[in-house]
Amino acid sequence: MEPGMTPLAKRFRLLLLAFPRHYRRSRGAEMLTTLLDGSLPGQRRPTMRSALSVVWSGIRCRFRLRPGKFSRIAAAATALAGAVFGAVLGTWVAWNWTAGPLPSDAQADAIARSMVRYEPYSRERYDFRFGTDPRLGQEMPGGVWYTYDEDEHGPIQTEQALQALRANGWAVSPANCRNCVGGIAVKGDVRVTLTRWSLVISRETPAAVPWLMAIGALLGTFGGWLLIARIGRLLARRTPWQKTAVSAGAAAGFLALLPCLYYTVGWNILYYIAWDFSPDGFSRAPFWILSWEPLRNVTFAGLAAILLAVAAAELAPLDRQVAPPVRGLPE
Amino acid sequence: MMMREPTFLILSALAGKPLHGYGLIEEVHVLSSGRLKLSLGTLYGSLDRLVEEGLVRVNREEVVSGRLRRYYEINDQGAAALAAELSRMRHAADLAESRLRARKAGEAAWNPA
Repeated sequence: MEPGMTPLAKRFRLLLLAFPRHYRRSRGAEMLTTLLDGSLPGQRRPTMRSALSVVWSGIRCRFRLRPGKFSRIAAAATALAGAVFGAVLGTWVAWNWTAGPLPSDAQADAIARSMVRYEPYSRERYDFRFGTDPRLGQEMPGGVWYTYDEDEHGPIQTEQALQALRANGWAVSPANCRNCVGGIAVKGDVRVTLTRWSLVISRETPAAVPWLMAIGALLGTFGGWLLIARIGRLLARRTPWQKTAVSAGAAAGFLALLPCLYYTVGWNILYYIAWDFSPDGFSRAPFWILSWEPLRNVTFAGLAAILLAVAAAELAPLDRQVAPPVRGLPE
Repeated sequence: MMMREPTFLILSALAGKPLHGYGLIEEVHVLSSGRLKLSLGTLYGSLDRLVEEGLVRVNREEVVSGRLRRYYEINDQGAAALAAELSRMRHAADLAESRLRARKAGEAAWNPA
């Protein structure tokens, strides 16, 4: 803070922090003068209206894009990608930080025996939250999987089994996925999925999942937009060939992300939210996309290309023909 | 392309003489008959765009009592853009006026009494 500044100037300077640093450097001192010129003699603090106006102007400035259609399209596409990846990241965080443990073997056996009277053909336990099914190679939620011999005992009497759970205080609903016959029951952190030949005891989706998914999507949207706004500002002071190289790199990276975005929207978000539409129960694995190696490699290559483009925009030497900022607030 | 009102008023204000930030806010307030008071964001957002489009340039900088005042002035390209916008507005006003006259004439023909 500079010595000799009035309290009003100090407060306005604080409010001007809402503007991005590069903007304060070039326009800060001038804006401070404009604000002080508009104040009344003897005024010690900004009015609520002017304070809100300064902060709002600063936020708008942070989100301001370079003029031109390309800038708007890039910002919209990046914001969309940010929303998708943010939602997936939010879901991942919610599952990893808030999901409860799987029931112990004894607890799981007790649940299974209360539903089906005869012994299962096999019992397999997968403690991971989400992982690969070793038999089918598909992603699935962790759980205790009981398989029953349909030939020996006939199909599981699903109605009867669910009735037993209902009597023990479980919330029971019919399984609505396209290929499922049976039902789903939930009690606390535990979910039971029943079909005619199997019973899966897994973790119930934590209550934080939809919230963190929405927060992640929101932060991703803002982050994507701000990234393009920042790249635009940086490129404004770069040479034409630097602009072309950075834009081409970022566009190629974004194209490489498209397959991942497509599958993520469908399988990780849409089916996860609207389970009724999913073709099978595996859609409960909300971030499986990155465990499929070919897709993962393409996605990481795309992200690397975008990061390189951003780094190039940050580090490329300035175009000397573009005038540097004149005078602003000292940092 | 049609000019936004704040841009039009800022160019009009600068057509008279070079002005600094607060001078521009006051002049736009007067030109809009007290209707428009530019916020800091709108003022500097418009100035950024006008400078970048080459319609306005920095005239001079003054430091008075430790405060930096940057004066802006309209250049030839800006004056031409303002004249083109005025011509467009005048044309639109003439068209609207002729429609109003035709409407009044039509009403008179239908109601000769």
